[in-house]
Amino acid sequence: MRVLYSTFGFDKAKVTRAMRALGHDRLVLITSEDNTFRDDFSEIERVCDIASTPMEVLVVDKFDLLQAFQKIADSIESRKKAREEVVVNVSGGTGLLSSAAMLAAFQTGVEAYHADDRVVRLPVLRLPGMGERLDPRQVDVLLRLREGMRSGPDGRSVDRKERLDVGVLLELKNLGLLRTSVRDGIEISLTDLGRYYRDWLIKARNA
Amino acid sequence: MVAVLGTLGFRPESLMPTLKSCDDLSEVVVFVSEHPDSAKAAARIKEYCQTLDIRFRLIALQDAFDLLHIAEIIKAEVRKVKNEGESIAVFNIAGGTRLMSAAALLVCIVQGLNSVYVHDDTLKEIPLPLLQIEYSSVLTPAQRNLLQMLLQSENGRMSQGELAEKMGLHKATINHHIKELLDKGAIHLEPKPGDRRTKIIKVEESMRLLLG
Repeated sequence: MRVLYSTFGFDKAKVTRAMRALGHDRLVLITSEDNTFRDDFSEIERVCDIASTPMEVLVVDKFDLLQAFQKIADSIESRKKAREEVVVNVSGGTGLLSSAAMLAAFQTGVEAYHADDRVVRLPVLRLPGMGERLDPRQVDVLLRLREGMRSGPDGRSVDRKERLDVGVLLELKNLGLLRTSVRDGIEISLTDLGRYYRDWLIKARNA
Repeated sequence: MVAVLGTLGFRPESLMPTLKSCDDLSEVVVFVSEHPDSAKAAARIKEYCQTLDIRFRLIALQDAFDLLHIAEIIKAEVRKVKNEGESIAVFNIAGGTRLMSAAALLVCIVQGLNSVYVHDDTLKEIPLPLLQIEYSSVLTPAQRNLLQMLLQSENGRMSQGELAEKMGLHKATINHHIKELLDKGAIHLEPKPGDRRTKIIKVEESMRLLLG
């Protein structure tokens, strides 16, 4: 089963170009609620009906990039778990929708295209997932970190009797996942990105 | 020396929160289309920068209709800023055409740049979940060389034999790298025209963004 995800705004041509260029068994339109009332949306529905292609709609908030990204990424992950092949077209819809779909494709490591006058394959590498970009030591420290934790120069936590590898802390800082400030030792706090990655890792472990 | 980069459309407000939130800002690089309203928005940003004694650079994208072309221009500018010894604090992708914004995001992902979006109504900066690590760091130097060689060939295609000969490596070694690159989705195989039993290795043009 090959599933084509395509962003959609008001122009059906972006979607139909992707449908023509990229073989698929099922179509998932990524769009906002208001776009489902457009004539172009009905035309895509009709084309799918003629071709007996099952069509689904993934409704996202057109003003919230992170929500849209998360929703698309979760949907793709569930398809991957079901061993379905996923391919994403990012050429339709607003910039926000395009960006959300592109981020999701890169984070989940699925084939992605920009189907316009020219169909361009994006340089996505098939990586197992965003957690795989970190090595096991980095993942371990990220999962053990608590807000406001303090660490002495030897890496021993002041608040808890556990040891955090200073080298790994520095690596995580360079990746933009945490920040440090000097106050009775080194005070460590997660950045927004760090919190996001930690939550993602916890979710992936519990799935 | 800290720089902020951003794509800009008709609204200077989409970039302003990033300029205001950045510490020790020394340079602003703005990418715009040729639309007159974008030039007006850029003029407002320039005025702000001049008043605060911040270096301002405007990059007009003449052919804003080709995603890879725009991404290559943006990537070259990123490299230029880095070569000048500045650290890129953040890349704001909120403004500009859909294509400009998508191209900028593509460069941020590939280069591991800190990137933000600005909400249309609240004008709040939203950091994007990108690790500050080059996307191609999962490729070994040998794999990079192989991709580079393929990209230099006609239409990004070459047979395994040609590749082994050009790189001066044994076929078995090339085979090993090809298998790993296939697993990573960096290349794919196509039947050779006129001889379907022989496979040709193909690399997409966009892979160029990952290298160099």
